[in-house]
Amino acid sequence: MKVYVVDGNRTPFLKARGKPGPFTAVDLAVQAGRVLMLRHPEIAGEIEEVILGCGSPGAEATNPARVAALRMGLGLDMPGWTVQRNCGSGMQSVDSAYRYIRAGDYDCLLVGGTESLSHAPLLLNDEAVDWFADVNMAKSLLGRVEAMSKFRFSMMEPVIGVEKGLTDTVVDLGMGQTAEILRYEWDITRKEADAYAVESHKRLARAQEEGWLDNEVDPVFSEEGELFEKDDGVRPNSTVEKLSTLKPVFERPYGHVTAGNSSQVTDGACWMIVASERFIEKHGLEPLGEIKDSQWAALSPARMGLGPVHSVTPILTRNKLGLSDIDLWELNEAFAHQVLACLKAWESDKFCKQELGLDGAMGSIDRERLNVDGGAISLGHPVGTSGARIVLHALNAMKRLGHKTGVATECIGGGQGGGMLLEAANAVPTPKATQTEETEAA
Amino acid sequence: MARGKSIWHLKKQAGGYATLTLDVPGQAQNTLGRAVLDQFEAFLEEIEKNPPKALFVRSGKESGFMAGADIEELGSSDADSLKALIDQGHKALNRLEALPCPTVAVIHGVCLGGGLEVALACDHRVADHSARFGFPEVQLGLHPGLGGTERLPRVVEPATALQLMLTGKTIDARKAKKLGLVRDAVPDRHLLAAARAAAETGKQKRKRGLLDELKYTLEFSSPGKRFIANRARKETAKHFSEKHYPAPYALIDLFEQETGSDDALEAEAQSFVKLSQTETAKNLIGLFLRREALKREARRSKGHDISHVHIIGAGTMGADIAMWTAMNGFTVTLQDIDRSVIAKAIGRAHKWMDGKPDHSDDVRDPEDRLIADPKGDGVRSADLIIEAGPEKAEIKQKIYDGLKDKLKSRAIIATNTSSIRLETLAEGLPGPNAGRFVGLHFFNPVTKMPLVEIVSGEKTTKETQARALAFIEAIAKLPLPVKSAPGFLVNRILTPYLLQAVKLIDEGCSPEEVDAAAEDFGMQQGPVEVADTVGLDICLEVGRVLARDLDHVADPPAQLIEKVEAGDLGKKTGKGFYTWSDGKPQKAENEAGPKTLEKLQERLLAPLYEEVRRVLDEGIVASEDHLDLGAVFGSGFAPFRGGPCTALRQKKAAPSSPPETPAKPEEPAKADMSEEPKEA
Repeated sequence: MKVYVVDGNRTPFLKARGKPGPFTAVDLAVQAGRVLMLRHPEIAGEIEEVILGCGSPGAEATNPARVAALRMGLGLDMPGWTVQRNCGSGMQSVDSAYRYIRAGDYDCLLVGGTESLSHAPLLLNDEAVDWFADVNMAKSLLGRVEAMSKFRFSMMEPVIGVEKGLTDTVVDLGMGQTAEILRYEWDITRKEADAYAVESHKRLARAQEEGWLDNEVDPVFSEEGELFEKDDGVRPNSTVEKLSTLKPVFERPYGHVTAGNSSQVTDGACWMIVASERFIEKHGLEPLGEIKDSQWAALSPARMGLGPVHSVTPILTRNKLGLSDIDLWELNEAFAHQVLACLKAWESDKFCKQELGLDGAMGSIDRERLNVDGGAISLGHPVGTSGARIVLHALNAMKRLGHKTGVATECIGGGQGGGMLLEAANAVPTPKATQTEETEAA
Repeated sequence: MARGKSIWHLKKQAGGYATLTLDVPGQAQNTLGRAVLDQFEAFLEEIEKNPPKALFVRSGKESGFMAGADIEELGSSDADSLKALIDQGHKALNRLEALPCPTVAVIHGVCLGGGLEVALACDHRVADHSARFGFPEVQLGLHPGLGGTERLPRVVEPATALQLMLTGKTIDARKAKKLGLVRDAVPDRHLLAAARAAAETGKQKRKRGLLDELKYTLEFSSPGKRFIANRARKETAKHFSEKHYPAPYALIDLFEQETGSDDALEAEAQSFVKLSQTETAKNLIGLFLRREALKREARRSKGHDISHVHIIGAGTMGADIAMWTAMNGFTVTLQDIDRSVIAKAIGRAHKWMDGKPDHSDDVRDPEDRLIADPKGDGVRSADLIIEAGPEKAEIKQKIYDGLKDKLKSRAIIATNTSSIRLETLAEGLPGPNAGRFVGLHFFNPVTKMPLVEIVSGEKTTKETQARALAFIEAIAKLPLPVKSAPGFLVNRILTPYLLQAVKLIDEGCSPEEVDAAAEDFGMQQGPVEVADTVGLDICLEVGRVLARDLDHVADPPAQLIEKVEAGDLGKKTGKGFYTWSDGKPQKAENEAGPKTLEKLQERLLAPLYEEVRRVLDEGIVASEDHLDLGAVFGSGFAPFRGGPCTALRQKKAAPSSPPETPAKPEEPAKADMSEEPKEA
């Protein structure tokens, strides 16, 4: 069974500004989801299940998918589950739908990702938790007083949830440190990375200006009466000179990875309606595109940034495609160094032979076809959302540019990678095929 | 009441318990009337002879425990028969109180007025979370009459008790538990267990803590009561004059002088009967009954078939209609071309909704039911579209034009226009859509104003009108059907009266005098203050529309035009006929004496009564009852006078003397009672 993405939308990505933002993860999912359902009243009643990626569900909901489904008004009988695959959560939800529908088990699923990193919790440190437990377990008043007396001010020092989430405990490295490792391994200069970051901002700014995101981004409205219309992390006036002055944040003083050439800490949600070919035909829908293939891969957590290379290569091999056969790439910008390392890895004979088991280098990716409207460096990287966003944006951009084939891929904290092969819908014979062909011609 | 059918049911239970269940045949709600009392006494006799281990008193109705007295019976009784009935009720409740076994009122849903008095005569009260308590009598120009004034201050703190009776406010189960009115407030699945537990504690009342006991003793002492009474009088005087609303004052007197005395019940009975014979009580009861009748007319078995409402225009009116509708259980999409206007509306709605109880069946919070929809996608799934755009025919027509191809097959388009003819607006609509085009004229502020005019144009179908009426009733507003005509009902009768007020100022009266005259008549707010509040530009506009469309209406007075031209538009600009600061008009003392005021009243009201006559002649409303309801709940016409038609009738019947003195009312337009969600 062929699998299509019918439509999708997302909230603006809102930069975390040091305190909880106006929306929780579920709020964001509800805001975008309600609007998407309004856009497709004929589909809203046909959804069979809701799958939502979320990196760190907060205390508000341990299963954000189900809570969001209820709050969106999808009905008491709407099942929903949440998936956690770190930075791959959003794409995992799409992939789950893809595989269910491909197998013929489902016809229409609502999937996506949501994250509110600004709401990431402050956690009690272990010392404090122990103290608290001792006080609670003390049987006598005296025992309790004694237990309480063991309080130390160091217990007040919270563990910051975001930091914890972005640290790999197996190799004990922060995500930024894995980017430093790749930077060293692939000999990427600070200037290259900063130039990449500047381009990301310029591309997003252009896309916003041209209205290319108008179909994709729906405004959100806070309970305080504020309006958020655009991804607000973009800095159109960013320059390599300015970025070069920033200090490294992960490995001082000699590191290269700065706040300027890393993805931003951000809140946002994204949804897609994924449906079977028979569903599309039955309802006479014009889908955005087709999901052709997908792949998950894993590697050393210390080199997690190369995840895209490991996940996309098998897809291409399987489908007998080369890098240049792909018209459009969305490669999630966790770090500029990490994106550039992926490109270099594919260009390396040695790497491709040794690590991918190929005969030689895969080749180069045309930068004009890579992250054409910016990425996580300019937009931000709401962990559980980005994987869904790059799939949706790849399809939207392919439609706009008249491209046929696209890839969306991402590195995943913990040493994984995920990739998806996408095809524009105009290749599909639907009841409204003529119209779509015209679009292609145009 | 069906004769022969049993009203009360006594059932013995295992363990020696018994339950006495009230289930008045043929009624959705239990009310207390003569027949209910008669049979109650018969059962009491049986229980006295053979007392169970404990007696549970409850209701067999889904809607709740008891809604209160049978208002219809009450309204039609003369003083003597009413006194007899009250005496009988007192005796019966005293017997209930005196039973040798523990008694427990087991309460769900509404427990109001006489119902609460029955519960108060029991040793214990337990409630589930659906329970609502209150003494709304004061809104009918009365006060509790079956021992409530005596028993409530013994159960809850006296000052709080007095306040509950004075405001007529309804409280929920949790609040009741907090005040000590009920022993337990639990989810319905634990109600019987809570009742058993209460019975186990025997006949003794709940013990108060030391501090509470001290507080109670202080408040119950003579100086304590006097202090509370004086404070209550002051507070009451801010809102209701004793001349027009004697009931709250009578209640305070009772509290101060009789509560706790041996004659308390007799004094309560006499005061109650006296109040019941005032014109105020009769008018307020009449208004209540007519209001209930209007609501009943609007409900229909077929329902309104509306679950999603799309609102176009997020200005004050659109935003308020949106949040009100969402609060009442509907999915609402709110559209405006200006996204920042939607944002403001959403912020406003969240602030207003915050903490309000949601009584709808929907699991979603009202905040989630209200959806900002800048692209207008909601139109395609909406069952009702309410247009609240600018008051320009071309703009409105353009909006409708954009809807045509997106509408669901039975979708109703409604306009909130106050001044444009429906027929003009419907011009561009294809036939079937024109049939489903109706006016829904909400008043500002939407959250406070109970009335909505349902305006039918020439092409509006009966079915559309019926659905619109049912919808408005479902969102806990009072739906008044009116014909499409300039100003509909409310503005048509209100505006000439406001213009007359300005004319009197033109002639040299002070605004204070004019307002004092109207307030002396019983209007909630004087016409000059109303005009300033509404906005003089709007008054002028409506005045011009009426003058243009109706031959007998004169052009607006010169002073109004001058003010508007000078930019003094009233409250919103800080200056109109009054200077406004902190949202209040700075008024000088009124110096005019009663004679002058009476003359001014005559002149002020003449144009209003004239329009009333014409509106009836023209058939703009269906009846005098409808007209009275529209005037009271749409324009703040003195509620204790029962509306202009009633007032005119009573004036004719007693031409020389003004209406007798009376009580605090069912609050009119300004009142907040509509905030209470739909009655159960």
